[in-house]
Amino acid sequence: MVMDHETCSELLAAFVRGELPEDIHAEVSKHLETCEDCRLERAAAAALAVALEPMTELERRRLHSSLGKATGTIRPGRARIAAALGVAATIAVLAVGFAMKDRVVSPSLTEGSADTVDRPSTEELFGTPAQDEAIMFESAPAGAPPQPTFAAEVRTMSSSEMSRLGSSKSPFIEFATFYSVADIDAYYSPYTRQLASQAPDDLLSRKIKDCIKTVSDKFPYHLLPAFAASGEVDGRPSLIVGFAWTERPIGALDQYMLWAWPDGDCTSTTPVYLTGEIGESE
Amino acid sequence: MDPKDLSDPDLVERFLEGDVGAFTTLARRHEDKIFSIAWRITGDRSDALDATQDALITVYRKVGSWRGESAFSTWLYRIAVNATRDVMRRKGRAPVPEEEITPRASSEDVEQQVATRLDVQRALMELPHDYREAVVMHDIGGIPYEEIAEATGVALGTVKSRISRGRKKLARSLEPSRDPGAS
Repeated sequence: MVMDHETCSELLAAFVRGELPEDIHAEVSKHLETCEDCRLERAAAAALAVALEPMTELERRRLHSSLGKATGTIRPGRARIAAALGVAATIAVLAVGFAMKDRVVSPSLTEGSADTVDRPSTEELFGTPAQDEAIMFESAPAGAPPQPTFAAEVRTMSSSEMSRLGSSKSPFIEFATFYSVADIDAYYSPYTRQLASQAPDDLLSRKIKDCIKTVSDKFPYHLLPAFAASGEVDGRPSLIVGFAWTERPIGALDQYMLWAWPDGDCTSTTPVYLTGEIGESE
Repeated sequence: MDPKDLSDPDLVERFLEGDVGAFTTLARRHEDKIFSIAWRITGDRSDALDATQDALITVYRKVGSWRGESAFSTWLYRIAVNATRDVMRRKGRAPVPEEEITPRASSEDVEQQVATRLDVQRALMELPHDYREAVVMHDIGGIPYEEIAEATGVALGTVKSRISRGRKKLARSLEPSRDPGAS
């Protein structure tokens, strides 16, 4: 049987993927030898068959975050699923597996789920009101730009507690409200210096600058240093630095990042890292 | 058995029986393909991400309406194309001829890969929208001609024609140095 042009065209997508039975594959091959049009089509189909365009890690994280929130407000499928627990589980699973470094926790993925009820306050995290205040921004006059803050001697916390610090979003929300991408150029360097200048000694001051630069170099996105602290994370003395940031070309800095480097060494140690969206209240 | 080893229909069944982790597995299995389809049609990564999200939420809500008459992936990618159309309509998007991707590494391999991806994308964006949509649905999404006709509301012959012509135009765009007399 001689294959016609139209039949060949219809089989090309399966042909380039190697999905045709051997005899049909051979017929297509034979037709291609004599048909310039079909060879052209095959070239295009072959280019498209491998034209998968994976998301970047940041796009993937944004998708999972959005899905987590969206699926927290709707009922799935045929509604045979126990909504609250089910959604929490979905969100938790979505949160896993897109780790960029050792650990990524996206607190926004827990939004709307049962675990929000046991999220500790910053008091529970840091023990005393004085330390709470140290880690929060000082209240700025209305309309004044929020300032980056360094908090020394943060009490020991685990990485999971650090994730809860992120989910409280208190150090960042004013930044998200006030600053946009357009402000980065004006504030990035001054705020880096400002954080460094609040450190109790020169060594820590230098480490703050180095670690901010490390993150800036690693993330080709718009970010502004908003917060730094020294303390223990997972039992190791660490430097914690927080950023407000966005991957969008314009608009508010709608996400936060927290990094914790053991010994403040951002060149050779592996940081604890987490990120999420700013804007959801407790 | 590891959920990743389960087939799409098995995961759907598990999800419908209350195993929400099965949905996550399904979503992760297909999300890059959905994103690819949406990006290849819109030429805009942000729009593609919105479409991917909308498509997966639709699946989350309506997976019970998949009857198994077509492959799950076919059903899913049709939803992806519809979500892409909705996003473009919502944002008042005309097809955009250019998109921007910044290479994240400087190795020649990566640059070459990016160049190839951009070539394909530029060539796709030169196609009329109807051609591009049909070609992407079939050659990236694997959606059969008949289902494309049904989804796009045109005759089967029109789908065949769009795909055939779209591919040829695409191939010529990708090989500018080929014999200009070839048809």
